Amino acid sequence: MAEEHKIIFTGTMGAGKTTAIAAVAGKNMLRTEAANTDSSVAKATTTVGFDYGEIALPNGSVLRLYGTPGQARFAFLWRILARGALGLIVLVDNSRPDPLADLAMYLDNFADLVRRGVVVIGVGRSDTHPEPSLDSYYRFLESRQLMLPVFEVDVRESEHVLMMLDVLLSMLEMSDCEDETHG
Amino acid sequence: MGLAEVGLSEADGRRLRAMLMMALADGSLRARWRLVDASHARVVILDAAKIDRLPRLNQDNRIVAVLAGTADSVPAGARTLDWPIRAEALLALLRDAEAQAHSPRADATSGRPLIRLAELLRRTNLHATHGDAWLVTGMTRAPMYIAPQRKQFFCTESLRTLHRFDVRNDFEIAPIPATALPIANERPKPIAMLQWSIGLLTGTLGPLPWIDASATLQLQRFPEFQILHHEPAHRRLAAAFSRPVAGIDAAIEITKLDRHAVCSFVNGAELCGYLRTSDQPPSVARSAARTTGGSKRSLVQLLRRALGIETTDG
Ligand SMILES: Nc1nc2c(ncn2[C@@H]2O[C@H](COP(=O)(O)OP(=O)(O)O)[C@@H](O)[C@H]2O)c(=O)[nH]1
Ligand SMILES: [Mg+2]
Repeated sequence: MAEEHKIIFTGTMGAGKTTAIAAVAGKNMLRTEAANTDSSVAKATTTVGFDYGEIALPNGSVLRLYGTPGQARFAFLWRILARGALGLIVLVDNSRPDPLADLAMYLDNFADLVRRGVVVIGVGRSDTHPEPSLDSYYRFLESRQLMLPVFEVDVRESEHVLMMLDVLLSMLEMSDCEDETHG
Repeated sequence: MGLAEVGLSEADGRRLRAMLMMALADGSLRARWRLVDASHARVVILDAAKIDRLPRLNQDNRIVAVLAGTADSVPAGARTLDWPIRAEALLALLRDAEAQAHSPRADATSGRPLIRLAELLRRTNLHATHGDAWLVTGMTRAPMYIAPQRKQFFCTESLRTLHRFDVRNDFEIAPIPATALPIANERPKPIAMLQWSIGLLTGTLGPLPWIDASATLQLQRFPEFQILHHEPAHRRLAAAFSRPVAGIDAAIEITKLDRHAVCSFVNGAELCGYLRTSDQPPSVARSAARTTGGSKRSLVQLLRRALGIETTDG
């Protein structure tokens, strides 16, 4: 039986979700009309538009990469997507008014993946907007008793995207939870 | 750091624990001492009649103190401790062990300048760094300038050449005035790149002399992999150390990586100031991760391959 595995990219509009998924999925990428089997998600795509990329695995199964619509009113959709996901990459746009509040919103809404520790945070545009600094991010996480990887990245560099994915896979590999790997 | 007792009476054991708690509470010790199994201890207090129960007496960096009156002759390399044990005598013993842990290993005839450089780089993380700068010659072909205050270094050569440096080789570290830095004509690099690379290089010498290999260690932030020369194994190690890990051996067991990889990572993270000793107990569920991790590990390997991510194994 072919298995499905999914990884979610989230973040505010313009944070770089589409760019990041395109960087790894290349031409196996769809926008808006995702070819997927989850009917509740399929319905949502017709109205909101999100990114979808897929990568075939050598054993016949498939890795699905989803970019969620960013706005909080789509939180219902996030929860559907998060079900059975391997992990989450939160892209934060440091040029926004309150990037830490953006991050908090995503951490709250993907609480399950956060609890399992399978989350990587990528901070974009830190070259032009150095604040909040990485120190601030780690302090913020510590105030929530979280230790998650935070990287200053430019998702236009596919190396950065692959690095985040590899760290995410490492977090998954080292996590305690029972296998929740079947999408 | 770890303190152990072997063969003491129950009353002496209790007194020892009480004195240790007092010393920790009033801040007379630098390290967070705790009672551990003798095989992990830096200091062992011993009833000489039980000497056969002490694994490898003359282990590196370990202080063995034999309780006076329990032996006619003290084994070679051991000290004596008067009975009844007094708090000052215990404190002196623990402080000696702390001092030993903070100075380069006595037996390290190799890697001396490297350890010195490591100590120097670690100090640059402290807030009160002095105005001095340093010139390192003989490591890279181009001279290397270290500017602790700016948290930068200058070297026209890629740090990749450092990874080929033979740790037994000698090189020079000299203080220079800050005005001698090539600020005008060379592009500075973040000092974390150098701290990390030197840390990796010291991995062949084991954990840095001041790191307690049996202490519970945890990352307080992740190495900046997007700018640091690293191997895929280091990402796995970072994930492992995002939770408390009960020392180097535990890390080897959890990650299935070799001692050199683990020590390199720990030393690199330590020099960057990303590592801390943790008060939290290592998570119990770790054993579960070890037993149920097989299928997860193979899935992860499969995904890495599909994504075209370089792997060190599988
Ligand atoms: N300067 C800069 N531009 C970025 C960065 N990350 C993404 N972008 C650009 O921001 C734009 C929006 O990115 P997109 O992937 O569409 O964001 P999405 O709304 O999250 O899907 C694109 O033109 C990206 O090239 C970054 O770190 N720095
Ligand atoms: Mg988009």
